[in-house]
Parts: sequence; C-alpha cells; structure tokens
Amino acid sequence: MISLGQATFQSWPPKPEAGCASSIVKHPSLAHLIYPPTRLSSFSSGLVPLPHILLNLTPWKRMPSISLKSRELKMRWVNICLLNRDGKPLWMSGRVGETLLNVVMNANGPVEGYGACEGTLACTTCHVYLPTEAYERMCQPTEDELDMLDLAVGLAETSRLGCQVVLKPWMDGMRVQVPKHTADLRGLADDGKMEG
Amino acid sequence: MLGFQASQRLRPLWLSTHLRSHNSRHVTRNCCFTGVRRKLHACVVGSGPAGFYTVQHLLKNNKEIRVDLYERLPVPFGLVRFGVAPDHPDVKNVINSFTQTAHSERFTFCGNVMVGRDVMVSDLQEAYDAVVLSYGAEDDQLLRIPGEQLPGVYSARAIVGWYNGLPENKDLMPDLNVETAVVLGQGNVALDLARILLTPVDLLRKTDITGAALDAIAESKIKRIFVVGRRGPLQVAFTIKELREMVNLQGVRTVLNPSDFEGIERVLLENIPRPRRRLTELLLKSTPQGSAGCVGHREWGLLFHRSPVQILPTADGERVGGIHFQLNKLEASGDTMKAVPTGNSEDMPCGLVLRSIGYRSLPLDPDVPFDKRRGVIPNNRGRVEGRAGLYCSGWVKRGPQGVIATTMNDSFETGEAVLEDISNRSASPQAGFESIRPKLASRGVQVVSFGDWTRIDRVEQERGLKLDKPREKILDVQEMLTHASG
Ligand SMILES: Cc1cc2nc3c(=O)[nH]c(=O)nc-3n(C[C@H](O)[C@H](O)[C@H](O)COP(=O)(O)OP(=O)(O)OC[C@H]3O[C@@H](n4cnc5c(N)ncnc54)[C@H](O)[C@@H]3O)c2cc1C
Ligand SMILES: NC(=O)c1ccc[n+]([C@@H]2O[C@H](COP(=O)([O-])OP(=O)(O)OC[C@H]3O[C@@H](n4cnc5c(N)ncnc54)[C@H](OP(=O)(O)O)[C@@H]3O)[C@@H](O)[C@H]2O)c1
Ligand code: FES
Repeated sequence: MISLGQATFQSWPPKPEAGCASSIVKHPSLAHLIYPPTRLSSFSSGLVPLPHILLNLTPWKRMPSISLKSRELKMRWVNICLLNRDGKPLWMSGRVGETLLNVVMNANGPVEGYGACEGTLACTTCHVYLPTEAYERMCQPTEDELDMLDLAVGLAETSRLGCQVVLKPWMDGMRVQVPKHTADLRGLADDGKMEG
Repeated sequence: MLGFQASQRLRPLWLSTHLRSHNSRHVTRNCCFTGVRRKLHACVVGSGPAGFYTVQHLLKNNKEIRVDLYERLPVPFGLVRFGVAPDHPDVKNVINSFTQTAHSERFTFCGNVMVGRDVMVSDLQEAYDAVVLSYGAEDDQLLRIPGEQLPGVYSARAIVGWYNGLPENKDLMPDLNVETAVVLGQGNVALDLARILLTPVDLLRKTDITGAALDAIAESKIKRIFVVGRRGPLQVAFTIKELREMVNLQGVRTVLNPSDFEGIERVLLENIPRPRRRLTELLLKSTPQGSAGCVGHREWGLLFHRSPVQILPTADGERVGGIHFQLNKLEASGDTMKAVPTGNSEDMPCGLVLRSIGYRSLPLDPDVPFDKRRGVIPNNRGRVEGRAGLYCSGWVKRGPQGVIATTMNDSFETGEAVLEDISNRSASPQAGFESIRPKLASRGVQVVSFGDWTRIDRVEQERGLKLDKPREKILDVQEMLTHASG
C-alpha cells in the first residue's frame, strides 16, 4: 500500500473525481464568474484576483506530522492548510468524508464567524477559495450551493462553500483561502440608488 | 446525499469542543493578567447580528476586555428573531453561535434598556473605554405620495414585525380579506412578504410564526400578489434563492409578462456578473415560454417600470382601492440605470398595499452625529467621525443593506478599529455597567440578563412544543419581563 505522502504526491495534478461524471465540464456560467454579488459591492474591476499562494501546493513533506495509530486510520486523514483572513496559514486535519466546515469547527473555530448556519446552506460565512486544480477535480457545486454562493462577498472563480466541500484522500495538502473582504464593504452605503 | 446532509449537522461536537477550550482559556488568562493590567471595558448598543458579531470579535481578539451589550427589548438577536422569515429556520442557527458568545464570563447582556431614553450615549461614554452603536434600522422609508396613510397600506417592516412577534406590531392585524395585494419594491423583504402570505398554512404551522399571524393567514382571501418595481428585470434587488422559492411555491403560479423580457437574452450574451446572470436566467425560465414554475389556484407576479404616484381610495374613501402608477423607461446614468417617466400612467385596483422600499435608521441621541440624507452615522471604517471612543457597526453604519454575512464582516472591521484604538490609549479604569446600574434602577428599569432571557426562551419553547412548532413567541414586553424574573 502506498503511504499517505506518496498518495498525495502522485495524485497531483488531480484527475476528475470518480463518481462525478460532469466534474470537469465547467458550469456554463462559471466562465464569467469573477464577480461581486448583485448588490453587495461596488468595486471597480469586479475581479477578485486569486491569492498566489493557492496556486503553489506545498509538498506533503513540509507539513507538520500528525501521529496516527494505524495505517488504516492514516489513510483516512487529510491535512488541509487554511489561509486565514489575516493571511496566516493554519494546518488542520479531518477524516475523509467530513466537510471542510467540520474540520474548521473541530479545530476550535479559528476562523471567526465561520459556519453561521451550521452547514445548512443558508449563510455564505463558510466561503473559501480553492486551488484551481482542486476546484476542477471536485464535483460541481449543486444549484442550491450556486444560489447561495451568488450572495457571497468576493465571489471568485474557484469559490466554494466549505460546508459543501467533502474531504477526499486526494485533497491532502490542499491550501484553502478564507476571503478577506472587509475592503469590499466600504462602498456599500453609496450603492447606486435610483431616484424614481 | 441524505446521510451526507445529516452528517453536516454537527452542533453537539463543536459546541462541546468550543466550550471546553473557552473555559480553559479563561483559567490561563486570569492567572496571567490579574492585577497586571487594568481591565478594558467596552459596550455595544443593539443585540442584532452587528452587536453580537462586534462583541464576538472584541472578546476573541482581546483576552482582557469585558463587553456589555445593551438591548432595547428584553429579548436578544434583533432581526434574526424579528426579521428573518419564520420559514427560514436555518438562517436562525446563527443564534447558537451568539448564545455561545453570551456565555463568556467577560460578557454581560443588559436587556430592556433603551439607549437614548433610559441611558444616554454620553453616560455610556463616561462608563466605558469604547461605545459601539449597532442599533440597526428602527424605521422604514416612506414613498411620500398622497394616500400613503390610507387604511390597508402597511410598511413591510410592520407586517414582518407582526408575523415575527415584534411587540410593537402585535396588534397590527392587517385586513387580509382582499383578493389582490401589491408589494411595492423588489428586494428580498418584498419576496419574504409575498411568500409568507402565499405559503400553504400547513407549512407555516410548523414554523415559529406567531399564532395570531397564522390564524389571519389561514383566513386570508388573497388570491394574487404583484411585486412591483420602478425599474426593469435586470435591476431587481432580490436574490436567486428567494426567487427560486417563489417560483417553486406550492399551489402558486408565477405570472410574468414576456414583453418585459424582450431583448434580455441579448444582454445575457454579454459578460454580466454571474449572480445577475443566473437570476435573470431563472426569471426567463419562469415566463410563460419558460419551463419553471408551479400550477395553482393562487398567483404571484412581477411588474416592472412602474413608480407609484398615488394610493387611490375606495369609492367611500374608507380604505385603499388601488394605485396610480407612472410608467417608466430606463436611461443610463453613470454605472446604473435610472427610471424616467414615459408620460404614461396606469391605475391598478388592489385591496392591500405593502410598502417594501427599504428600512431606515434613526438618530439615537442628539449627542451622536447622524447623516440624515444617507440615514447612517457618519463614520470611517466604524469610527464615528469627530467622536473619539464612539464606533458603529451593522445597518446603522452602512445603511439597511446586506445579509447577515455582510453585517458580520463590517462588524469585524469595527471591532478591529476599537481594539486598535483601545490598545493605544491609557485611561483610568472604567466601571462599565456597575456605574450605569444605579441610573437605571432610579428610573425603575428592570434589566434583563442573559440568564433571564433563557427563562423567556424556555417558556416560548415549551409553548411551542405543545403546538408542534419550534416556539410560540411571547408578544408582550410586560409578560416577557414577568417570565424573565422567574
Ligand atoms: C425582513 C428581513 C429579513 C431578513 N432576512 C435575512 C435572511 O434570511 N438572511 C440574511 O442573511 N439576512 C437577512 N436579513 C438581513 C439581516 O437581518 C441584517 O443584515 C442584520 O440583521 C443587520 O444587523 P444589525 O445588527 O445592524 O440590525 P438589527 O438586526 O436590526 O439589530 C439592531 C438591534 O438594536 C436594538 N436597538 C434599536 N434601538 C436601540 C436602542 N435605542 N437601545 C438599545 N437597543 C436598540 C434592536 O432592538 C435590535 O435588537 C433580513 C432583513 C430583514 C429586514
Ligand atoms: N433571505 C434573505 O437573504 C433576505 C431576506 C430579507 C432581506 N434581506 C436583505 O436585507 C436587505 C434589505 O432588503 P430590502 O428588501 O428592504 O431592501 P433592498 O434590497 O434595498 O430593496 C429595496 C427595493 O425597493 C425599491 N425602492 C426603493 N425606493 C423606492 C421608491 N422610492 N419607489 C419605488 N421603489 C423603491 C428598490 O428599487 P431600486 O433598485 O430601483 O432602488 C428595491 O427594489 C437586503 O440587503 C436584503 O438582501 C435578505
Ligand atoms: S455554513 Fe452556512 S452556507 Fe455553509
């Protein structure tokens, strides 16, 4: 059996996810998806640049080691590097099948306000940017997730809701960014109101 | 898929890890800091999302600070309790996180205290290192047109307050004995109103809607609701999730006029933002040519390019009988499209008018600067202009716009400003609530603590249990106060 590290290494660049037929067929509307939500923002270009760091996937060897009892268990843990709003990386681990939301919450909620609706697709506070390869390899977001994502501040090309991201073994070592969006809020009160 | 959803509901696990770590942090902090540095003391006014998220940020990022939260009502959570629609219980899960914050030893809830009446902002500034105003938007925008005061014309705010159990709206009892209702404005609040009034009553029964509203809606004669906007389909302010709920509403037909959508497909070929694109695609699908929508004996529809210029009375002049609209066309004006009159007009008969054109904040205290035009406290990233030690967050900071997540972000921004300033200032120790308490006592104010609220909460939940709903809200402030004192 291959070790966790090798598995991770060999799995990049990621291949489309099994059992998710349409995963590499981009949603038709994703091509333009570089946008602030409807009424929430007035930033000029409308384009949220993806953080550089997401594009460089750290090799497994540089990750902090997590001591695990059995090889079997080892195979079921996935390490995720979360770049918090302050830009600091946080390593956390979760089991295959858990959602990213679970992982963050079980790590003692290091991201303020994360998961306000407790994973019921009703809030967007679990919004994250994924690395492009991972975004493309994952199952497409459902219509319900897209509906909610459309409300997220700082919506970008690889935005997902953490409560809908289910950990897979190949995600080991994945870097995920929590959007920093306070800067986008300032123009809000001036949002183009009409005189009728 | 089902199992997957279920596995996402994880409250017990997080809650337990959270609370454990929370307590242990307290222990270390107390040993490290007791007597070393003076205690910082801040207060926040208003316990909606802005208030609670500001508190959360302060407590999390400064381990010495104490925060007191003043709320005008005996019950916390602002619009999460009194705004968010009863059929959206998932949105209210955020209350769990607020409750967790409230259990911090460094937090005090002071309910039933109206700032600006029971205690003034200047009193608070004397008692605290920092005062954050997060009192939301307690009023609503007026159309300022003739007939607006006729019986049968209601503000969205009042109707929402009525079905959600806001004490001041408990006796509203709108007359739903009419066939046609018009909602003016095309935001999410407008769709909330239309949906609640048209949702099958058996579905509403399982929500925390008030018993009185449920009875009135069960008796309602409303057959159709028009949601009317002054601009076009590309300018609607509601979002896709709420539109989809309307389109899929059981037993309710969606009625859209295809001529309103002429040329829209061409716009969709352009590079428009994804949220607007998906929303418009769903609107197109819901036109008679489209595939979406339900069949039913009741209907709802969107009307565009109409500005109300007068609310018309019935022949006897007793109540609302219709609306006189001016028809508009759109003209580009900078980045936005502006509605300008075409010169044509139209009368539309209806028996109920709901004005849903936005909420509005009010000045709290003559001492606090207020921008009347924009309806906000003038501020720079949460720092009230020209007033050291005074801050604001939420709707009163940026206007009545945005969902809870937006409010959260701006509250964190304000929290950050407070912490930045507070660490740079040296002042004498502030007594906080201890110096406010005697003032309140002398005015006979019964202050409701968070423990008191949990007693009210328990009574509401017990009443709900009997009716097979999450809670039956108490509508009367006096009754709340009775249960609060146990
Ligand atoms: C009808 C409606 C439905 C909504 N539904 C959703 C939804 O489904 N999802 C979503 O994400 N967002 C929703 N929103 C938006 C969301 O509610 C707001 O973003 C958020 O509540 C704003 O928070 P706030 O704390 O600024 O104001 P509020 O929530 O209004 O809180 C202000 C608080 O201050 C208190 N207060 C007022 N005056 C005083 C005083 N003088 N002294 C002491 N206390 C005072 C009030 O009692 C209140 O508790 C909805 C809004 C409305 C109006
Ligand atoms: N489910 C949810 O997530 C939910 C539910 C409720 C509320 N909210 C949020 O709460 C905030 C407030 O909602 P809202 O619906 O009160 O406000 P809103 O989104 O600002 O919508 C106001 C509507 O009123 C119209 N309007 C304003 N002035 C008018 C006038 N003088 N004459 C005619 N029409 C006029 C606006 O049209 P113009 O565009 O032409 O100005 C717009 O269609 C929003 O951010 C909303 O998303 C969210
Ligand atoms: S936790 Fe609310 S949408 Fe994901």
